[in-house]
Amino acid sequence: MSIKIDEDNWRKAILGLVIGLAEIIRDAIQIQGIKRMEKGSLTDEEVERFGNALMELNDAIEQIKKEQDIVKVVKDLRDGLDNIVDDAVNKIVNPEKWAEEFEKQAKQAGI
Amino acid sequence: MKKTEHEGVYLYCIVEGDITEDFGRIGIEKNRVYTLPFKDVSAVVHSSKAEPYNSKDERIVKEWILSHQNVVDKTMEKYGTVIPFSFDTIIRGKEKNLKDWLETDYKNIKNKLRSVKGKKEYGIQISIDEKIITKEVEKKEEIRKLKEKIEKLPKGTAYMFTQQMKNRIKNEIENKSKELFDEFYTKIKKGSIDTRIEKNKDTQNEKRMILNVSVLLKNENIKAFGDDLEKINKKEGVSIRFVGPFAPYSFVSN
Repeated sequence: MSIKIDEDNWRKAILGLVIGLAEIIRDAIQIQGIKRMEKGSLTDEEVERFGNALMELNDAIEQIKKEQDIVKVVKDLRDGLDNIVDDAVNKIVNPEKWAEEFEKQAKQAGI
Repeated sequence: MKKTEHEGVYLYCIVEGDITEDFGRIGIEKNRVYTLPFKDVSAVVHSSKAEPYNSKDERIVKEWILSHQNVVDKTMEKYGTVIPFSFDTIIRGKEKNLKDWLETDYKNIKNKLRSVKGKKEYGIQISIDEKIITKEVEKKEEIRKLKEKIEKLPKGTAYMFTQQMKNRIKNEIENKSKELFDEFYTKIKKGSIDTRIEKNKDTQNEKRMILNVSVLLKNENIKAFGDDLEKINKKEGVSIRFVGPFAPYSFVSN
């Protein structure tokens, strides 16, 4: 993927990249947080603090995106990255894999 | 034709029967399409240069492909069983080279013709409406309880549990999609001679494609098969596209 940087918009593009990365890191932290919460390795107080911190981070990110007019830039960037990841890893819905599993089960069931 | 240009034969499809016919100028770029028979099979061709059709202009390519399909469709309409070839199949050299190839590959060609005789290809695409499926999932006991619990929690904790619930809903939709896939694919396999799974297209307007498949159907079974699909169509949140008939493109490749 090439990231297009329009000369007039270089500031927006770079800011968008930074915020896009911040969002990705936030998502990763959130996933980890939920995992720990589910495992029970966080106290109630820690969960509350964690949630508040994430909410504040969300608010800050949204505010910057609006103020800097980069909502669309960030979305395009993340969609672009998502497509790459989708191609690299299996798609969430993966019919080829389903079909394979299906054949396997059918074989086992002797159909 | 310039001396540097080599001759070739553009191949649309092979049809059953010893046929001599001039289809007229219905080919790619209005080329004259005609048949080259060998024993009891005939190739449908036009004479071309020995190089592929190539253009950066998408519209031109589209037009070529439509012409190609049109020739295959016309042949299928008139003569029934065809082995379609993909766009840009060109045999280098004169007509004799094509006939030589028909001769050496004759057995294989006959086998393929036999395998698709009296059958047609159809495409089926099944999609689910994410909105409706999400609503269904949200009715589940586990999710409902989680929602009630969240309402009573302090802000930060509520946020964490909401995110957790969203993940669960996503997983449930995933499971539901897989379930539906199994159900439909079983039915489709039962009712058809052969199937080929294709890649799903991207989600659009909250319609998520869960099954994209080409099927080979016996002519006499098509109506019953269509009626069966109609039943699937009546399921809430599920929609289905059933298109065809096509020449059996997906079922004759090696």
